[in-house]
Amino acid sequence: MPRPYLAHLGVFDILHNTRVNGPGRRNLLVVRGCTIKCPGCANRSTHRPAEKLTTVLEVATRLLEGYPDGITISGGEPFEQLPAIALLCYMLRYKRRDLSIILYTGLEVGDAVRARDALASDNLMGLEVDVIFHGPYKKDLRITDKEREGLCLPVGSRNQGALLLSDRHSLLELMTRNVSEVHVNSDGSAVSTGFPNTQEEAE
Amino acid sequence: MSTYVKMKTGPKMTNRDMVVEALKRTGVPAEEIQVGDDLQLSGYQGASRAAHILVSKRFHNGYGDFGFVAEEGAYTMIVDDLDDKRSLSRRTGCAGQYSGYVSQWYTALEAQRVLRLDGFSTEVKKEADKVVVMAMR
Repeated sequence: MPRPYLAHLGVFDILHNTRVNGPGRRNLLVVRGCTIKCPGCANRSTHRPAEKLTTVLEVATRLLEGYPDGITISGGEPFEQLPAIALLCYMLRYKRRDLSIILYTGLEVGDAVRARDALASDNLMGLEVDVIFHGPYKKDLRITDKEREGLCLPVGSRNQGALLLSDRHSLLELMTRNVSEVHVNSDGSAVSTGFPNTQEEAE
Repeated sequence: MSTYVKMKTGPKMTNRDMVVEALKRTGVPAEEIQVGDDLQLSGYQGASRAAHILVSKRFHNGYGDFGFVAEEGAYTMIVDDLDDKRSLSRRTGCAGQYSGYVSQWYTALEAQRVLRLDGFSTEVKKEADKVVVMAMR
């Protein structure tokens, strides 16, 4: 199996024009591969590493299609492909300085910051994102349907938080209610995304 | 992470009212849609067969009528191949085969139904080649 490296990414899917994965109209990258494997994870089908990798350039090109307000990077675990993710963000920002970038990780905030700093000190580029939603999903702390009736962060469990790395978004702007989307393609296939009541993928 | 669940195929078309609604959403006027148990669908060169939902070929100026027959609890579309690819696609403005367009709308309406049962308020809209169901509480 090929190992992800700087210029390639393991991609599970790319979804265009989603409105439930951060502020505005966003394109969503779902990376493949996660070794954290939180019990009760909603996205277990993304855990297996990719058998085929995609060039970062191709991913960037697809993510910029349709002139979105922002990009959200989810998974899988993006930090397990951090050099390639950093390169992707650099490319996206090179093309569009105004682009909002949000990244999800299952790492605790301290580990995420250390990984980002280590990347920079290795003389590679920094991680140019506006917001990191961090923390492993914890089944027993799942945000309930009732709690989502008010505004809350777009995360799965109460231990997860947001690290703001720029002044592009305020915490209030990132807050959301119980929202989800189903995108039905012309071939009859469909994608469901967002923060619905049923957080866990069927066993 | 937000949930991300892929479904490779749409649901079986089991609900007659939703099939009719899907036809309307694709652009077939309500008055062109006949529903009944003894409808006869007239196909290419006068070939005839029973149907439970029928749209006359007048609608799309095609080779034959099209419609649906109820078989084993699901509605199956009966349509001339060329009408599916050409006259119906042209008439309704869909990008690919018309039969796929109907099942796309049926899937969206089914998703809307399930989300409503879950207590969400929903909005369905066409965006380029996709149909998007938005749900919020």
